[in-house]
Amino acid sequence: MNLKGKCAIAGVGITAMGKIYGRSVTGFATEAIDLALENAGLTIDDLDGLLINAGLDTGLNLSLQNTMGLRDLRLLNHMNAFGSTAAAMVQFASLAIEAGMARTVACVFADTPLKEGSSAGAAYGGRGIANVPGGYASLLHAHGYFGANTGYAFAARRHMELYGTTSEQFGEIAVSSRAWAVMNERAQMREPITVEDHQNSRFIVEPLHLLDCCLVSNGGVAVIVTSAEQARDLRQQPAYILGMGQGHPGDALRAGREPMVETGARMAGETAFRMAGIGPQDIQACEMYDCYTYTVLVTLEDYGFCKKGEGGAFVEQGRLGPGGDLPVNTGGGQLSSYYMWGMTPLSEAVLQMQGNAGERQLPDLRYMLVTGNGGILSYHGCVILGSEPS
Amino acid sequence: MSASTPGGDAEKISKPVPVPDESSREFFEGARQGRLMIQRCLACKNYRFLARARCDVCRSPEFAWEAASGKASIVSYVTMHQRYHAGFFDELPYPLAVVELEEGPRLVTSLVGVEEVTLKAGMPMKVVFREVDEGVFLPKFTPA
Repeated sequence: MNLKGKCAIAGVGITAMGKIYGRSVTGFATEAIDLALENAGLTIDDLDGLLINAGLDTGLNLSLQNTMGLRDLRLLNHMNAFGSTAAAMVQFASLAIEAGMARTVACVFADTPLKEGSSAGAAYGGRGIANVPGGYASLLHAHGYFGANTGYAFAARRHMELYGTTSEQFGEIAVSSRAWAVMNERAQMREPITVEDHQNSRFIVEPLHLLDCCLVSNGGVAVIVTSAEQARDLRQQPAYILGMGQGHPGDALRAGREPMVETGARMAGETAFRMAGIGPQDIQACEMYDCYTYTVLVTLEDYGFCKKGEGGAFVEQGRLGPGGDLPVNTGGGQLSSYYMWGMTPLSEAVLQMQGNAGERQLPDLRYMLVTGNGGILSYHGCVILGSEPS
Repeated sequence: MSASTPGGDAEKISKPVPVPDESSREFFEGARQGRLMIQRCLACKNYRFLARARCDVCRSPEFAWEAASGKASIVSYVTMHQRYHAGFFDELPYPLAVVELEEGPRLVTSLVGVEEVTLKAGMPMKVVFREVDEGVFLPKFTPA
């Protein structure tokens, strides 16, 4: 089965984002799906598949089907490979559609990690502290290791030690993302920043500064996946799915490997580029999972946009920002726009492919790469989107 | 996690105490006796940490626990600044490291005796054991 160009993303729906309190996670999910259907020019009666990815709020689950009054679905699942799930949902939907199992599938993520009167950091950093696990996980806490920030700080430092990468180079990524966010009315952080601002922001887990770390958001995002044939007749320019792949390297503490600087992105990219029949040199813009600035740097290397170890120099001089050679995270990414796990990069890519990105719209887009990353660089998924099915 | 005693002026939040489970009992028992226990595949002789049911090199389910030499080197290191757990607040900022044991496996560790030391990848380290609760010992690392 060659899936290249057989399916497309026909619509995207994005709710209000950020410190939106008093709304349920199913409310966000329902609104996102309604918005995505509207965007595509479809109605809820057209849906015969629903794929759900919950974040921290477990109120989002299979019961969303009944909440939304969806009957007789031909495809339904609650999926979770953390930040790689959005790509994985699009992949699963495409496989099912091409196999004749379903025709029009909504993929949704929603979450409400922010609670009124509680800090953003508490949402993720505090999660493991309230429920201390046994065994080896309790060992980490006993040493004083908490939250994903620590794991990514170790990875960033390893790259710095091996290749001489600098914190200022991480800062270049934060600055570029913010420059894009200035043009995104949905972005939570729209004040321009400089590398100096990045350097002056407080340390979270050194070497990571505050401005190396993503936001935390309440909200929901959905996309509609359907056949290329149906997508062509709908309201928007389709984002055709030309390639997709995954890579999950396994045990990060295993002897003789460098999982902090060599990630599953490489394997995912090989599979996706082979399917699409293109290479990194054909990609005009990327929407990359950017839970941290370092994640972007290592992902660029693993997809072959530059050599391993050269990511620091590659991101300098605004290459990823507006007017740069390789626009990356054109809505501001998770660093500056909103944090909806893998739906942050996917939603911006669809807006760009549709031509609906407003002031920040890129011209003449032919190919875009969308990446998702979960765990501590543990799980990776991607899709390559194109303006034509071939 | 040990909770503080409610009310008292001398209220002090304790650090989390490790809780042995089925797959880590030998590790914690070894630490109590001053030994850093890791698993070794009986088929291909590879060492591993954390504990696993099978070797991820040769898939063999046969393994034994062995005491590691305790010699290691730094792979990566960070400094914790963010306030996550009250038991650590008065130590902030404090360093953590990932070390690679001489036998191969890597582990996350807190450090001892590094106040005047500039940490660097490759720095030789050795294990030391510290009692963190009655009868509960934690392997930590210090410059060799």
